[in-house]
Amino acid sequence: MAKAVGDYSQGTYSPIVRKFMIGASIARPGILAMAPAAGNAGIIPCTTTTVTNTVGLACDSGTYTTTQTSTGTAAFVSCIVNPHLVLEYRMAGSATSGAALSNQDETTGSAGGTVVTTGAQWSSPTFDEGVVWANAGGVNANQGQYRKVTSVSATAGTVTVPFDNAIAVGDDFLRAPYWILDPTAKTIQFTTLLDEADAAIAVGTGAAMVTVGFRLNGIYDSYVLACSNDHALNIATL
Amino acid sequence: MNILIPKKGWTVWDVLKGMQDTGWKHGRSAKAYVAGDLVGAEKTILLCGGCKHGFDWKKHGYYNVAHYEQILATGVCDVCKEHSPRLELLLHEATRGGCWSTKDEQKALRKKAISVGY
Repeated sequence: MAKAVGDYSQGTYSPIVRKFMIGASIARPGILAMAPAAGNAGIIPCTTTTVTNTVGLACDSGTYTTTQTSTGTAAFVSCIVNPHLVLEYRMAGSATSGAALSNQDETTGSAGGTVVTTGAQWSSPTFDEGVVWANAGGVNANQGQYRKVTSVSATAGTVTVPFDNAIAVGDDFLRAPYWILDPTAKTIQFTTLLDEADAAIAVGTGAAMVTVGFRLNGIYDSYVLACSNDHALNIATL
Repeated sequence: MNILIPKKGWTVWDVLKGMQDTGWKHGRSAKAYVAGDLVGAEKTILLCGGCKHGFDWKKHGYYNVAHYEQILATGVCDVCKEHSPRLELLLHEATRGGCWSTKDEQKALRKKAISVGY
């Protein structure tokens, strides 16, 4: 689920909540809504790869209908519209919400602590300029550490600042295509349900979101924190 | 057809109207009417200081952000329609977990994960 966790520019978090007519069904709370396009009767949900003119985060759901009804409650949805709203997306290992991230097992070792070599592809999709962190499981001596990936090959990701300890064969790592306030990695692709971040895609792919933080943990409970990078209130984009 | 008159002062027309218009009840205040409709649809509710009394958010299954986290919202009160920066934000429990991370949840996550940035 995408959850509101705060405002990047406010010292004290004060959500600004507005009710908007909908121009398409918003299936569940926690979906980013976009401003209506030409012909839309109201706000519409984002897509997996597009969030243009962001309105805000939907706090409830609504079913779009053009049928006359006695009450108008179903025709609107409340949104938190803060332009610098920080959203917490769970990282999924595929386009399916709830999917686990893929553990990357070190296959060769790196005495200098700079090269994470695994059996998986690092260059297609590319994780260059993404984040790699030592998973909490196993006997990884670098647990609790993260680094920015600064170059990739077919089977390895390289970091410029080495991990504190040598990387041993069998150490588990996780990776994601995001880095904080990095113009190269200023996108997030959502899962099909639009409520989580698909972390298995290439850096720079997806909707206009700027990463502002991480909660890096295991395969099921790692999160990326991000703000919209294309807001309807015309906040400058990164 | 027998129509039972449930309350003193209700006419047959009142009863029929009550069946047609969800949430409408004879003699209810505007506050109860608005809250009734919104509650029925599990919609988010905003209430100002003057209108919050009388709405039992616990009974209706709502999470009161101001009560638990001392965070007030900016917006328009659903009852009196006044704009205010000091509104109580009420999220239905069925939807709260999908859009709002509580302070305790954030604290627990920061504690167990590598917490970077915001």
